[in-house]
Amino acid sequence: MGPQPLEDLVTALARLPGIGRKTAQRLALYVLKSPAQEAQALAEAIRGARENIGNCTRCFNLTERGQELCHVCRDPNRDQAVICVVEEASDALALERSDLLRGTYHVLGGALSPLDGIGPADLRIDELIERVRRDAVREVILAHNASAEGEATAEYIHQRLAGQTTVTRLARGLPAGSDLDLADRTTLTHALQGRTTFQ
Amino acid sequence: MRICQLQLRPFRNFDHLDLDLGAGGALIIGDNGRGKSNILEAISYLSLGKSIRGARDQQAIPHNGTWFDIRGMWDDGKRQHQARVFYSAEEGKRVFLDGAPLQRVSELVSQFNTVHFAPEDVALVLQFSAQRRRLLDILISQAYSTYLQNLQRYGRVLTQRNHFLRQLGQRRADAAEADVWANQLAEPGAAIRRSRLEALVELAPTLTSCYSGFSTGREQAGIRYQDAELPATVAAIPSTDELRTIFLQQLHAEPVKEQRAGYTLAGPHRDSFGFTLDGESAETYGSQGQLKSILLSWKMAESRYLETRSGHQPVLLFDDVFSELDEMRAQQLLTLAEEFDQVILTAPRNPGDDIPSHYQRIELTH
Repeated sequence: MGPQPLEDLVTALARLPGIGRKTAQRLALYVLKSPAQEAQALAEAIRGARENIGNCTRCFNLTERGQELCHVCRDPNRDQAVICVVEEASDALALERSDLLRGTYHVLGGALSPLDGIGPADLRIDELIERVRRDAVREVILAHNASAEGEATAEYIHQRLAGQTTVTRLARGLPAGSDLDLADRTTLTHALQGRTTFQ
Repeated sequence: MRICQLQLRPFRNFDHLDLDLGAGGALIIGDNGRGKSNILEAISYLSLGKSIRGARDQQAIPHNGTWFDIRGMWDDGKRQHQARVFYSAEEGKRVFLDGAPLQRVSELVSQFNTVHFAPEDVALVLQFSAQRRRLLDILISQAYSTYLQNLQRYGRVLTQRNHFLRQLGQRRADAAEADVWANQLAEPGAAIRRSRLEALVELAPTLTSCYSGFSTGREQAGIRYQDAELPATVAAIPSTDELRTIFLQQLHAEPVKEQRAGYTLAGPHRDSFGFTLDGESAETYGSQGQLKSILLSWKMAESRYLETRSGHQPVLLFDDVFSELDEMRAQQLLTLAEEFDQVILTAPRNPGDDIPSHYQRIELTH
């Protein structure tokens, strides 16, 4: 046991996803050793992010507080008639990095999971249906995770949107730049099943 | 296929064990409690990534230890391969194939195939439907990696659907969501049933012919699935699409009963699979001797099936078979086993001339 303030910091850090007790300890000791300014800046950044970031009222992606819409929804060059549906804001961030999507996002806030007590009413599905209706959306791209819950959520949305718009989903298969012989079987199975004509 | 080396550092009662296994058979001799069965369990860990006895990984850690570590090397006729299964409560399970870590334990399955027989199987397997399903699932998983994927997906969706059924009374029922969980379950469920039927249709003739060798009577052994006779040929099995439709009908058949029960009433997780003697249920009407013969015949059918499917003969692991079997059946078994690359037997004492001299004798003394 170290001094109480150190223990408190370790406990707080260990609550973060992907951080175990040992890593939390290392991070805490690093923070203590770093210049006071640096530690202060970190604390300030955490507080600032927490206070100044909210959700876009249209797509529920992250946006700066005071801005009703996120930077994607505000962008006049983005096609409002194409919506890419994702589970979490982090998925939207990942897709944004690809720089390919010219449409907008819709962040559901999770996936159907009765195990965790999450039903359709707990996700922003009604809001999505409403957007599709209101904005004359041409295409909804389902970019869900390949988990059982992700698949179920995608099927549910597909059912609810039946006849209202075109619903597509992302292809699943080999990651770019990867070696075929290193791919796991599930990935290979999907890659084979979803093979396309050579163009 | 044959296993050439086994290292335990530690595993169950072994702090440290190095075993070199030559070509052909091996006979492990040792008093009760020396760990004969543990060696066979360790070998099947390399094949399944988990305990063949259904034990939790934690139980395979020695009493004073915090981990177990199994390494083995086998020869598939062309190349030698190595696998390692490591488990500690803190780090969880880690599995390596030819030195490289595998992302999922399930990726190890079907690399190195084994068929395991233990005396308790007679009581356990023949009495409980769930145990027979487990037997079948382990077998097909070794033959097809996609089968295990379907089982895992099915298990996950089943848990979700059961929770959904339990919540139905508490929240607004959503017909679309009910459909989704049924559809998600039907997809892997139909694939599982199709694979099981295919496997059983293929296994049945070997079971029947082996049984006539083991048995003294004239009765004929067979297999039934879901209380029905098996289709005569693989071509007669309904397609996956047809099975999907059938399964969906079952899932929609009794909504009130399912909601009251709070779990899914029909599906591969509850399908019955069993053996018959002249068309009657062997579990109900068979004598102890007949049941032993059935189980041995099943094990031989398993071995032949794995050989055909994977192109390699599995390693046969027979735990203490002589205590359970009379001499006639034991000899019959040894004769059939002669056709396989490697058989590893255990016995509490040296059975003398009953076991051919080319079996390598391994004595566990301390």
